[in-house]
Amino acid sequence: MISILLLLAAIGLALLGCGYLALSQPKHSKAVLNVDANSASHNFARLLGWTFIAASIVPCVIRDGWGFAVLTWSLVVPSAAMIISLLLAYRPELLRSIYRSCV
Amino acid sequence: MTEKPGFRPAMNWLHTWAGLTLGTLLFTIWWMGTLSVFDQEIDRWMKPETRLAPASQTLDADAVISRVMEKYPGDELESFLIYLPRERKPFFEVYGELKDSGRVNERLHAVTGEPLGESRSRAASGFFYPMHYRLHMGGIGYFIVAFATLYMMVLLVTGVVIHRKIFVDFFTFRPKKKIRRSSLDLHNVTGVMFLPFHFLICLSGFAIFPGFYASPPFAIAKAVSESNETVKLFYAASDYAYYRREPAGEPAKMADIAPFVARAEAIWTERYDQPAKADRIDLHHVGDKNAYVEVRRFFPSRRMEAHRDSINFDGVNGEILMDFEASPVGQARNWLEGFHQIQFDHWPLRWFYFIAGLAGCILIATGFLFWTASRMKKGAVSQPVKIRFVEAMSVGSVTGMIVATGAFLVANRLLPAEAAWAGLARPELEVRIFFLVWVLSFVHPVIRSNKAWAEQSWAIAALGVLAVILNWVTTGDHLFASASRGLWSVAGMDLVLLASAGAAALAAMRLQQRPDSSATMRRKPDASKPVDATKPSPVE
Repeated sequence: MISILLLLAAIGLALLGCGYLALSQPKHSKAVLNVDANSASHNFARLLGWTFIAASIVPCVIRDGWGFAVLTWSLVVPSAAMIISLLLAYRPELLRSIYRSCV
Repeated sequence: MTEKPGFRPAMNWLHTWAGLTLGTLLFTIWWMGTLSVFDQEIDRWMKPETRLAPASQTLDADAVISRVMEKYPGDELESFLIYLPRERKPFFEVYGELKDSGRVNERLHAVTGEPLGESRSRAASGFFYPMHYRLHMGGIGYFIVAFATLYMMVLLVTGVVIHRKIFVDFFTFRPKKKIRRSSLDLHNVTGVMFLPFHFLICLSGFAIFPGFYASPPFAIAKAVSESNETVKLFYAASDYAYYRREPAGEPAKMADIAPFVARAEAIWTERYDQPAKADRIDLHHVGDKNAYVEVRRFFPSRRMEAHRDSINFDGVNGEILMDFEASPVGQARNWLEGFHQIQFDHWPLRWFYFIAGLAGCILIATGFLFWTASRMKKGAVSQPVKIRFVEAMSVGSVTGMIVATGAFLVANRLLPAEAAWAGLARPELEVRIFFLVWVLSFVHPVIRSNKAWAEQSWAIAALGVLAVILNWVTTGDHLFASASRGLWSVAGMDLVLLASAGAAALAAMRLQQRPDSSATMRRKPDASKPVDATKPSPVE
């Protein structure tokens, strides 16, 4: 049970991180939030994005130790990125409700 | 349209033409590799007699030997090989060499020792997996796959070089734009996001077979010198355990085998500081004074790296003859091999490998799709033969390969148990059906032109659903029955088949729209406007 929660935590953090990274790009933030955010908030979103992506390795390490964690993390992040780009294409409103707070 | 000479156009040229000429081969290897991630699960689905629950307490090696010898009263064992049950393969697999009966091969129940009967399919481990690394072409297949792997790495690197806006387009996928645009988006997204993993999987795949790349010179050296020393050198160079000794010709009483396994496991448990289980036992010169028993462990369940652990015991007095440990270079190779072969027990990671594999398949498929879609746009009607040839190759390589896989699964459930035709046994019939369907899938686009993409996607959807229904009808294991019995391999296989059918149906609907290419192609048979048919479509 705990191992499933840790895995979900890793995926969740990676999704958050990739989402913020996407919104740090003017074309996506405009499409999702419908505002012309300034560059300061884009920089902040980028920082948050990388922080969450880096943090998503922590649950992997707790779950399996470093050996498997690096590999799991290196596959969790691109999978999350893939999901974010699909959400941007098909369901941008889902991202809107989550990220309105920040950018 | 002529581009200035330079590094990037040169890379673009290399990427386009290497992709086009090797795409069929690359998709085949990549698709079969993706399936091989779940080879044992596909095996359970295709060989219903092996749908057994994993057992914690299994028979010991001596009981296995006596179970096999019960069938051959009065005969004597010469050599014997046992693959021990694992979580994903819950039965014994044994190969024996008997004095009178010759070679025997059995699969035994892990707990009762009951024989499971003859295998009626080559399934994933006997067909998909070997196709992944040697294309069923014997020795030359290894070299073709190695060459293709190197080129895949070249394609990954050149792809990054020619992709101008890696960061700006990182998350960009525009499915509602024209097929040319959305296929390129998908090509970029899957290619860039999974680049580190895809590169490492190519590299590690290439690094697994140094022994094979070195085998021709060694074969020559062996033929010239005719001595065992060259073989020994070969094994030492490729860092394998190698121990051999000749029979003494004097009979002696064999010791029990089970204690050897326990001793080997205790040695490894102490050495690696985690519980170790043996994978395989080899008995040589059984009943001779020089008998020896090799206990091996290739794949630790909770470590990523593969191992080459091997301990040879004297079969009579139990003395340790050789205890093999990999060298530091060997350990680096072990890491790459373990990374590629995924024999560890880690289900989430296994699924992520599958996702990354599918991403690679999408990468290659969309590369093909983009090539044809962009050529169609540039007034392809004036050069239909070339375009249609490439399109036929792409359709057959991508959707055709998947249709053939679906047909293989359906044939597996449809063919009667004792099926045989034209001297071919049931497992071979399944394989012939796979290749026949695959060949037909190259002919189909020649006739149907660009409608073939969508039509073959519909075929994939139909075959996926059909396979699940046939599995239910022929074995009684519908989704809920297999899930409630804990047969997650079978239930998972059914779920993936249904999901694939859904995805294929969605892709088929999307491909039927194809506004940019079908508009020009549809005009072609229209006899009333012959002028339009030869006119290139206007460039936007």
